[in-house]
Amino acid sequence: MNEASVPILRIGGNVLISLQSDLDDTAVVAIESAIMREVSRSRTTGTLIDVSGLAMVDSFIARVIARMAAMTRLLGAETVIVGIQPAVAITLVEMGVSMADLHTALNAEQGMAMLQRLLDGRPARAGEAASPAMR
Amino acid sequence: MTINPDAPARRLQQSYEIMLDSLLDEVIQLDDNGYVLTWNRGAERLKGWTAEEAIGQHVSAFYTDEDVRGGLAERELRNAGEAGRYETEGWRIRKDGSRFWASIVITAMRDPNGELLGFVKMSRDQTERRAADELIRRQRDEILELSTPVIQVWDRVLALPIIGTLDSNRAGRLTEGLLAKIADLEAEFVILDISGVPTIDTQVAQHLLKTVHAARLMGATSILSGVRPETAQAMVHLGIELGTLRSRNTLRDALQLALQMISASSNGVVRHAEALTP
Repeated sequence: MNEASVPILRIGGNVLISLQSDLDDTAVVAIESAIMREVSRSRTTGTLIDVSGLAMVDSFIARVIARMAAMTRLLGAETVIVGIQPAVAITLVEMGVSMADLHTALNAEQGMAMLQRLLDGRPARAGEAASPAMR
Repeated sequence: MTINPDAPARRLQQSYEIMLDSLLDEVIQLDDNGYVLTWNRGAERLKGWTAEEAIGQHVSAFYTDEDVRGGLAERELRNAGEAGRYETEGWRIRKDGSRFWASIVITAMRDPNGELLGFVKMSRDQTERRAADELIRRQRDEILELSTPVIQVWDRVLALPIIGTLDSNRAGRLTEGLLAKIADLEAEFVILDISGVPTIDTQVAQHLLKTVHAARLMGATSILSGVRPETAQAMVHLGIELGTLRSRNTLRDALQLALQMISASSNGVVRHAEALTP
């Protein structure tokens, strides 16, 4: 697959991935393998997935986001989803997509701060984001 | 004294005409093609044309230009002919060219063999009622706007005082307004104050949790405040599960908690930054 189409930035010890709106099945597979390669090669401990470029989501995209977070976590990297737009947040809640066990932050800057806290072994804002109980 | 055999029939006819003319509403007859056959006083009062002027006109003369072009009059008559009766509302035209909002019933008249003779058309001026409806709708919208204010109480801390009951309509607006403010002000904490909510049932709790969940997807942590003792009791009895949502008795306590968490998290960042510097 065309790796140039997958924007993966390295910032400090972290990896930032920007998801764009024109995702289809093949693009997703390409992005996933590119991320996994990058995370394992660089032994990244923190991953930011920026979804601010997504104005709308469907259940497919929602699954993709959750799946990427699960994969990076398996490789030992803390993952924060950043830039979820208001309309997207409402759609996800209405769809009943549970992202309760994912860390989220408003933008890349706050996401980076959250990553540092997570990597410092601190509870993310006293642990709310880490609990899957809220639906 | 001779008895005129027609007298009772004529009297009946006369009283029938008086009845029609006494009506304040328009009651007119149309022939099967939609041309005006009779025109009562109510019609004159409503539309401004006298019977002499109106009789013989096609009914579409009282429709707006757009509706005439769209063939609305013909369509309505066809509907009435097929169904026997047709009810509608719409803008109609007076003689002076002004518009009014009419509520209309068209009934098909058929002879005993089922042959279409024409139509009876009854119309009323509902302009005022329509204006009143619109006013109520506008005011309801305004109340909804007013009833969901989002206040910035501190840097990165928003408060959302909820007053009154939450239905899904209101909860939806509230969530939208809140999320927009979170994005605008880069808020990290949201205090949902429910001291103005009379009762929390499972449905209201469900709405609240949806709002909390949506806010969290945008990276903001919610704190519930203003839970009164009886509300707390009722929520536990109803088995309402708030998950990890933090809750405080008063807005003051909730704000304090938010500030503690903010300072804890920024200390963390500072300490980390210090650790990086040699």
